[in-house]
Amino acid sequence: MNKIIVFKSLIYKPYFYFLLFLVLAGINPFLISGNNPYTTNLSGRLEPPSAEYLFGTDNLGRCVFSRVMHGARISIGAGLSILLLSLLFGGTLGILSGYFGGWVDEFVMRITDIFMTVPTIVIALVLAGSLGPGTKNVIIILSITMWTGYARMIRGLVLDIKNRHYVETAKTIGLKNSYIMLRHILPAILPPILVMATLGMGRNIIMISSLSFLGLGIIEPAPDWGAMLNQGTAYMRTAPHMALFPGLFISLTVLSFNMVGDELGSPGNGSQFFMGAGNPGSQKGIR
Amino acid sequence: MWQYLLKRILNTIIVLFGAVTLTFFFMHFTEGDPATIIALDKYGGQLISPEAIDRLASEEGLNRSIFVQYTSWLKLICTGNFGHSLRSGVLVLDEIRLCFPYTFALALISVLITGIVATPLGIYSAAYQNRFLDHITRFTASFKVSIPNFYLAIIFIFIFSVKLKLLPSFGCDNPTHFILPVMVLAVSQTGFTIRIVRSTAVEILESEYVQFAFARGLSMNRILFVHVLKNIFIPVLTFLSLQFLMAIEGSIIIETIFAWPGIGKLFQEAVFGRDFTMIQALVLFFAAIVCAINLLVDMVYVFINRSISLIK
Repeated sequence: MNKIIVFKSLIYKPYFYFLLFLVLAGINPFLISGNNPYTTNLSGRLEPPSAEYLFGTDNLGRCVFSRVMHGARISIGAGLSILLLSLLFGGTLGILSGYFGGWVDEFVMRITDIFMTVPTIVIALVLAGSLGPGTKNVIIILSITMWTGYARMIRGLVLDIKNRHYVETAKTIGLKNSYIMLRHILPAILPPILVMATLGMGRNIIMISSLSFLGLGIIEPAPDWGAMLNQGTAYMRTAPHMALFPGLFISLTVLSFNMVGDELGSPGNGSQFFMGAGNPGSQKGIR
Repeated sequence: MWQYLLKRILNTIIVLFGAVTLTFFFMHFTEGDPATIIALDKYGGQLISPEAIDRLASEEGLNRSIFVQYTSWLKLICTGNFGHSLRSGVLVLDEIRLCFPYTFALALISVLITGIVATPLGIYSAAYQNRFLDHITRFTASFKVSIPNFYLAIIFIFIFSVKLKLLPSFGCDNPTHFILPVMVLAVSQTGFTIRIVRSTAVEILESEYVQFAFARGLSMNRILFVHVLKNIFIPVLTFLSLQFLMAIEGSIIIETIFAWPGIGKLFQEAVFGRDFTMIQALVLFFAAIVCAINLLVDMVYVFINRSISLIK
């Protein structure tokens, strides 16, 4: 029921609709813009925004608006893939190290220590330099760099849950560890993970566009927002719209994900469901 | 306390060692032969011949097995010598020493400005909650987290260099070149710092001795600037030291945009040029800065705790 309250409160938020719009654009960009993002038109280069080209045209005469719309698929798609991969990997390690403790914990935590010492963008750039650009590589690179944060946070959540009575009881009656982790611990920590994931989407999109902006992520002719920004900087004086619009979309998207994350995580609107106390797992316990 | 410090330092060394190892193996995922790429860079497309590549590879030891390269690199670090750049041939350490002051200046100035702006604003929005200033700072803080630095930089360049033609947008020749990059870094940090200062100040304002100060009839300004400011100093300083790290990290992108001759740009160029020795040295350098600052913050806390327990 609480779930419904949260989604009801989202219905009144404009940023929720912005994300829906982007998802729609990601599924079928041609619904929103009729122009082909790859069609070059050298006689119409660097044109300012007009009725036909809402965001103007770029240095090869391509429609910036349709490129931004097609970019939604890349940003959201790649962001989601990175999220799933890093969450799966980091989450598994986090649950294992939180639950078992001991040397497993020690090992995983030392590795995350290393990742946390070297700035994320530095690791990402080292990997990007050796793997080379491309959408697939960006997903691999950022999954490798982003999993540690999730592992740490999920470990913390598990440490909190694992001493609850219901988990102790489950252990006492001799349930298998794997069963306890999947059926008792995972459901209990799922709500905060959802919040974490929403906020993580914002971070992923920033990282993707940073790499592309530096020329080491998704590169031309793919319509990625970061790559478009990178190209746009060269034309700041003649055609500022080339950089301003893709950047605006990066910012709005990240802002929307952060807002939704805050909304899901904030207390007061059904967030007992999302944070701690009333989690489904604890009700299975014996009082 | 000394035992704790020793343990921390030992831990730091292990982590640094891990970072070096990790980057070493990450770098060798490469597709394409590094010697070829470097030779292409060094001699140009026409002059390159298989012999030249082989010679370069054997000179730099790039044709040895990964583990041999790894151990020789470790030995090199232990002697305090980081080798020379594969591209320019200059000693890596010299180049870092030359570039770091630029990055350091940028980070330090931006953090100082952040502290000077954010502390009073944060304290005021804590004292006068839900007033205009409080709303403004909350709004800008949540907004700023979402704007990537490079977009902020582009907006600033657009406004101040392209439209108003006031400030230079790249290079580093005179003090005016500092303004835009410092502004980007400071703006990106200020919003969040204000929120941190605010929440710390709220806690202090609710504490008993401040309530007592109110009861004694002290003026709001006196309470804010004597009681609150004094106690907020350490937490804010801690937070600013983390912001300093963020600024160093952010330098990679900021320096690329503003053509700033610091270590961020050096790193980006090294990555593009597959300059292995340079990349490794810089990663170690970045990690060392992070470790040093964290260690410093921890030490400050240890000393404070000790003086507190001595008073008791």
